Amino acid sequence: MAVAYTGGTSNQTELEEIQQELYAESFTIREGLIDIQEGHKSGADVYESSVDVTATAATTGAVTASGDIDLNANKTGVPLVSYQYQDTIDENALKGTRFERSMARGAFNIVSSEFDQKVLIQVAPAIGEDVENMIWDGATTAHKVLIAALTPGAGQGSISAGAQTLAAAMPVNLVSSIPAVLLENNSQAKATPGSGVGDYIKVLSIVDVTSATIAAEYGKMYGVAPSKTVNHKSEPSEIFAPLGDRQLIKIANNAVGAAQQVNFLVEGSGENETISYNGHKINFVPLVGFRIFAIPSYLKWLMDLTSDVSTLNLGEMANGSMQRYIKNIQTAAAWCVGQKYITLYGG
Amino acid sequence: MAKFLNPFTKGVTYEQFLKSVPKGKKVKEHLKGKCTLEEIEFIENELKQINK
Repeated sequence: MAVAYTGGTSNQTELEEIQQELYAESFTIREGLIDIQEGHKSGADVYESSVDVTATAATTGAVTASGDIDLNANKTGVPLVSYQYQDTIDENALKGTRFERSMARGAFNIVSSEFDQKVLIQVAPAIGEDVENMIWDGATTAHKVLIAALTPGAGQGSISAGAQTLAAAMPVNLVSSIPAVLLENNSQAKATPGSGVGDYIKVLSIVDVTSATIAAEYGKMYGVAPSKTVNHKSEPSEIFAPLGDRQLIKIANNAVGAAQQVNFLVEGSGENETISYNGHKINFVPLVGFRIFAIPSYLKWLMDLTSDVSTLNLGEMANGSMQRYIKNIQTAAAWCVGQKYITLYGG
Repeated sequence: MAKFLNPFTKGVTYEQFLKSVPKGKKVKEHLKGKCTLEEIEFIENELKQINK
């Protein structure tokens, strides 16, 4: 018997899993790669101090004011900026899709629990990725102007033209990134206090970093770094490098034949992998063009509360609306201390 | 003959360096023998970015 059917066909099964976007992990705050300072609402004073001593020939008389012990302390105010991620969610568009099945009965109910569990859940990691990028790349419009206004030069104590080009190409963010703050800041602890070029150590005469040059370029950065920093055992200096350096390092390390020179130490794999250069751990972060060799706690991200990064306020809108709101708000600022001990490749 | 102004010396700006290059002479020629090839290439690349 022939079967007659009209009315169209439709798929009777679906993949249970909804493939999610891949988000870069926000290691910096989660793992405290740099000094994450909490408890600051709108601004924080950062103090730096130093003592210079001079030995003189011993005497048996009374101690006089000699200037042999020079005690210095200074304060720099760092303003924090509040920024938010917010929107409304109207799930009416999900009617007629798989998400309709998880909407409670009743015409007023258009919230899909499956949509919350499988799609909305991605808001937090997406914000995490954005904040991670903000820490390592970008500057405020005003900060970009200040960096562009610096007088470029090739020697130490001047910003390179290349750094100004990189800064000009940075995304405009509400908070300036670590490299932007290193390039230009108003620290009272600098050799010349106040607004101007940072006191960072510059790597002179750099070339494009490729798999063929990466070992030599890291060598330049290591070579120019202050030996006090390199020898700082209580908190060893670490390297902060662009994410792409991981690939360049492995390509360089795994060159075959006469070209092979294993300059980087790669230990473990996957989540447990660590890569180091001359004993200094390399942290791969979303830096663009710059590399930093520093004692990690000298780089700071000031916040109100670290969990603000992943805290989402979600609720129903008022006055009978069937929509919901979602909002995340954070307060932060980048800062650096001990600038004369921070090596900024590309600076 | 004017004293050579090394662009890598602390405090020397590109503006000062360019003024020190004799008229009609290219930067590359001016730095030849005084800086390494890599340093000369770096300076040339830097100056290109300033003139953008």
